[in-house]
Amino acid sequence: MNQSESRFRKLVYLGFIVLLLIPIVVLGMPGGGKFSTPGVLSSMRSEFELGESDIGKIDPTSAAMNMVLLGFRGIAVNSLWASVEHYKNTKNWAQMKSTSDAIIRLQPHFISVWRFTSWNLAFNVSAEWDSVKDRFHWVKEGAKFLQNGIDINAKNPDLAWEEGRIIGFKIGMSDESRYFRKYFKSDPDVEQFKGGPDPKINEQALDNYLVARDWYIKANDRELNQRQRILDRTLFRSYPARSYFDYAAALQKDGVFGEQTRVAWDDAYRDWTTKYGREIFRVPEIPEAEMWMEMSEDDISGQVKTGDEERRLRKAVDDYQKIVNYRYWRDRARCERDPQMADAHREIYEAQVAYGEQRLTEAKALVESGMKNFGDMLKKYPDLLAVDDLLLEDALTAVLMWQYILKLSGDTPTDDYPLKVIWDSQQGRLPDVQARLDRWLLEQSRNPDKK
Amino acid sequence: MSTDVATSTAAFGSSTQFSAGEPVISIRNLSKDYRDFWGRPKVKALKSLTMEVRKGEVFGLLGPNGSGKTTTMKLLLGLLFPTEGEISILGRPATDVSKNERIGYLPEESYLYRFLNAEETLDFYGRLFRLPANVRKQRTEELLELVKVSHARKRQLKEYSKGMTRRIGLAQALINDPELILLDEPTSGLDPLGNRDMKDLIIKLKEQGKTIVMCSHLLADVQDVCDRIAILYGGELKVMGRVDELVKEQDATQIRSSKLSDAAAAEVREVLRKHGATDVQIDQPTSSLEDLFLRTVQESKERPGRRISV
Amino acid sequence: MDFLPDVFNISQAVGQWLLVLLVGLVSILFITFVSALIGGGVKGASRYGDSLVESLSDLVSVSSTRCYALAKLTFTEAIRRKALFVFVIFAILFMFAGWFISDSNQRPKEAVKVHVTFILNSLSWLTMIVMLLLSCIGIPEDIRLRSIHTVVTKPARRFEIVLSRMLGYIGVGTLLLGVMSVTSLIWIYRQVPEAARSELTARQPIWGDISFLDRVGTLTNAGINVGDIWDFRSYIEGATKGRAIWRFENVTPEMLTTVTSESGEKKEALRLESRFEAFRSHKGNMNRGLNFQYIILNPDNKLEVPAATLQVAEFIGRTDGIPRKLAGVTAEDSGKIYDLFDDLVAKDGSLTVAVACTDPGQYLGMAKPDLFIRLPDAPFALSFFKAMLGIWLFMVLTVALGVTASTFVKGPFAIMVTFTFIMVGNTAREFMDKLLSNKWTGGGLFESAYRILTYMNDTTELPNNPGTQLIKWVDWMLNGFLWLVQQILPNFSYFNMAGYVANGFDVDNMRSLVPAIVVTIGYLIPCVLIGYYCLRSRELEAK
Ligand SMILES: Nc1ncnc2c1ncn2[C@@H]1O[C@H](COP(=O)(O)OP(=O)(O)OP(=O)(O)O)[C@@H](O)[C@H]1O
Ligand SMILES: [Mg+2]
Repeated sequence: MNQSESRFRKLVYLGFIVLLLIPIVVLGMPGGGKFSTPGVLSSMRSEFELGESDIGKIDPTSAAMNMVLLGFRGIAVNSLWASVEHYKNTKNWAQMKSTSDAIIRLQPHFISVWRFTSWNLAFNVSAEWDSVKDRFHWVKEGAKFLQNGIDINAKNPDLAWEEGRIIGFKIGMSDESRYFRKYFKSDPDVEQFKGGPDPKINEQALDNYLVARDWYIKANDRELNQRQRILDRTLFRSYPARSYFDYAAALQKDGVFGEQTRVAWDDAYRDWTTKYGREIFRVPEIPEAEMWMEMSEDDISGQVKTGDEERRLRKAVDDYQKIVNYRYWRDRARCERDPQMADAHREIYEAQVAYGEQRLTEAKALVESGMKNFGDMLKKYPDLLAVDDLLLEDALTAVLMWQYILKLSGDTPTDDYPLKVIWDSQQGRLPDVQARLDRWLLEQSRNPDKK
Repeated sequence: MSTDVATSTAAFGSSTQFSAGEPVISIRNLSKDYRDFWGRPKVKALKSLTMEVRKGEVFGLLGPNGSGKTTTMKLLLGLLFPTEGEISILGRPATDVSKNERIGYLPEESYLYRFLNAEETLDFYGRLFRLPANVRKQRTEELLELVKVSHARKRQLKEYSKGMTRRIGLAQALINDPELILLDEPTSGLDPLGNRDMKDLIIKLKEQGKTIVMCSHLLADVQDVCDRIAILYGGELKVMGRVDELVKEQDATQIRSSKLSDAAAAEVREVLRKHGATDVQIDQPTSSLEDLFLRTVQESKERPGRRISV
Repeated sequence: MDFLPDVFNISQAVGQWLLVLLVGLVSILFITFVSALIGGGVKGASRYGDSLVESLSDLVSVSSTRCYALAKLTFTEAIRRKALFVFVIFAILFMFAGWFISDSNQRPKEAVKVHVTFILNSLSWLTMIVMLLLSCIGIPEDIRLRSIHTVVTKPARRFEIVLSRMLGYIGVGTLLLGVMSVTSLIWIYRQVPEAARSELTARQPIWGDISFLDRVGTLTNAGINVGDIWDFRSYIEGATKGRAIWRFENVTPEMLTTVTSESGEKKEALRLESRFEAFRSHKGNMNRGLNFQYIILNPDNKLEVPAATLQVAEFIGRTDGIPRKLAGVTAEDSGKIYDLFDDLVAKDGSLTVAVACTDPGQYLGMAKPDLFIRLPDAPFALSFFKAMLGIWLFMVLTVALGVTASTFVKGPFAIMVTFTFIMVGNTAREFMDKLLSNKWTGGGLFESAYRILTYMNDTTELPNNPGTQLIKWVDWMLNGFLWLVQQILPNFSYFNMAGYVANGFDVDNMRSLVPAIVVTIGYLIPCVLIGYYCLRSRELEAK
């Protein structure tokens, strides 16, 4: 090999290096310099808001960890998932949680990981524990875990919605909800929280559904800028209003009657019809027009130009109302905010209590008045009968209660009592309702000091 | 050969004493092929070398670069394994480690631990000979004095210059007061003064009755200190013998004089011619070992594969 | 604690080890002798004899002075090569570890678990990596720079070189671990939340043997499976005759401990610690955990005395004192007071404790380590330093493997070889066990590949033809190779004692510490020999 040959070769190598550098520079050059125009990737990143600082809070730890791992993040995450699975199977919860934390540090913007892990903690892990307090602790773990994700992914609506699910649905609807809802306001870890709530999830000691509502509202706010990937949009946006229904229903279930509950239903009604009901959606069925749930005939004709469009819009409103169960909830809230309905609930509940305390005459009077009020209200809102609902179960409970009382006082039930229609049509649900009532009465007799 | 390899192997551990003139090293038919990764012979570095080094003599191994001098030394020390042939050194096979008790070796380049300082280095090698602490200390002192680096005794060797490292290298070769010393180019990298010192040292060691084998390219020095030499070329032994005999030209006379005028020189030439002398030359004397060396190399190039008779 | 390895059978292990060593040695000697004979005839054989004698003389003439000098050299070299930089990494790790693992939501017990596991694991891996790098480059660098020439031309035996390299690196590792362990201990004490300090302890358990009674009271060796993936615990049904029965050997009054009861009074009792798992088949009473009952049995006279009815504390566990005096409850013996040691401990000195679940329709899951007699605890530092010793042994093994590998391959390769060896041994052992257990259908590597490519069901027989024969044969060979690898790989699980420490247990000597020591020695000896042989049979030229 002579010298000029080797020099030539070196020049060729140099040429190749430069050639390879050009696309890297064009693609990868960062923006923000004084003179330079940003590279393709950089402008795309800002266009699609993919920069770390666009997505949310930058976590120095995860940034550092990703640096240290160079390009091996994928491998590391993979092996961490394997150990999460292992820890989960061998019920090593502490290690499982801390490994999940490590994964999330490596992939802070991987939304499904946040969703999966928080669900895992709040639903699966919590169910593994025997004591309700421990279960609640893990529900909280899931909720707190998710809060981190919400901060780190400051624009993502899904996670905020998911948080609302845990706080609203998991705490409010699970088997242990009676305890969970109580613990939510006064944490069982008395040593740490002095009988108050865990401030990380409930700073102001509110009802879980009201806290959930705040999360849903946050999700809705974010949803205006970034698409959510969970539900149909009309459904997704209904959740803040739904939380109000849940709240009001939960109050009833807890035996809180009277003005507080009635006002809750009233709030729910107004939220549903004036806020959610007036929200404008663009739906694929009729992209030309604006659609909202609470659309009157005038509204519809104001939105369309042709008869065909009018037909399609009407159908769309109808369909979407069905999807979100719009009309039922409107009727239900309207009915429940009526003082007469509030009275009915209160009377039936008090009758149960009176029965439990063996005050039979009082119980009988209460239940009969309650049944009458109930029946009147149902006559006013006959549509409510068409839906399988807790309301009907309440009606069944009332009749059942009435029969118990009559039986104990030796009377025979008459045949023309107010809620007979329901009793006859809903016989299939009777065993469930009866079991629940019996259990309630049993528990009531066990701890009589309970409200 | 007077030393019996077989019996001395059996008697390992006991030290065989040699009287002057007996061979301390004997090499028979020694060949060495360097092989590549796949075991294929790459270089024939040594071809069937047979020679002896006797007790008390200074033996010079000469040869151009790459002729196999260092290879021979490494084979002697068991650093390399011969492809063929046998080696007996101090009556032991080359792979026997116990012989090292009585050997000092200065490698071609000073392969020392660069993170140690001079004192630590000598102390370390002293320990390898299991010298007691006081002896080690005393030897270290003496040797540092001898090789003239005691002023830098606390500095790490990585800060040393080439010559200084060489001096420490020499010191470590002498730490055990060896009876056989192998010096691979001992003067390389030394300044003229150091060179001088080295020559004196070798002569002194010889006077103490040590046997020395050395490689060197400084032929004048070799001529001064060596009793016998061997010249290798391309791994083959070309010339071996006593230095004075090798350089003595039987049928040549050299006339030396000082203050001889040109006219007088012409007269002398005339006289010699009258006595039948041919090719009369009168000039400054040259180092005749250098002549021998150059001649050997020249002839080996022209007629490869032949032992050269002097 | 959710694991409890079997007690290590030393004599069996040592016997097997000797056998393997002997077979290995003999076969190596035989192979080398035959190849010398073929290569050099009678002369080759005699040279072989000579070198054998030389090797033996090398082994017997090991000098402590030389070893010390060489080990010290190694140590100095490592230190001056800035091995101590690892302290910087260590310090950084500690400074930021809090970020990664502390979690204000953590419950105290979990905090201890996470912190201790983190520290022990990162210490062990950090040291392993540093020592791996050091020990694998030492000899190859020595050869590359030829400084080894000045050593082997002294009376230093190559055996001593290998041995002292190991010793020197072990010294470095000891220094590293020594400093880091003390720092870690202090760090753990400071980092673990106040409330969790009591969990930093070293329980001294007495383990029993477990057996089960099924719901009608017949003896079985496992309870019910409630559908867990993890078959560690098996379950008994509540309010039936189902029992889990533990038998503890040699129970004496010395095992009594002072316990403080809930009312605050102190008294002598036999401390039982339990960690049962609850499985509810119906919701039941959610206000409380499931109930279980301790029943003390005396098999000699069939006496049964219920000791206590308690609530399960799932995944947390509970400690209870069984008082020495127990009252009888049945019609015949009500009012009678039994003494735990006089009346209930059997003649052979064993105590039998049965556990029953008292909630009908609910299940209680139990495994052998779920109930034990808890003697007074030892200080946490004890178990911590035992685990440290485990890490130290792991480091020693790493060094031995690394130095050995470095005698026959260059540094980077040595690192790769050793690292792979350690990683595979650490992670793939279980997997290999599974592969070799023949429990998997579908055949070996090639057979299953064939099945996948041809969409063949794993129960269908392969066609009977030479191709099948070939595939089966190759798979058989591969399985054999896998078996060999699995036999050669050390069982690294012995070295990881973090599980004990993290769960607040003292490291079990016979189950973990002793096996770790034995395994280390068992690998150290052949490693030194192999290393010596490799270094001896190679020319010390940089290639
Ligand atoms: N490690 C090695 N691998 C392959 N060939 C080698 C190796 N060492 C030496 N050689 C070759 O062996 C031959 C003899 O080398 P050696 O070092 O013995 O020469 P030398 O006489 O000492 O030369 P110098 O005067 O330059 O020191 C040379 O051709 C050399 O290239
Ligand atoms: Mg040389």
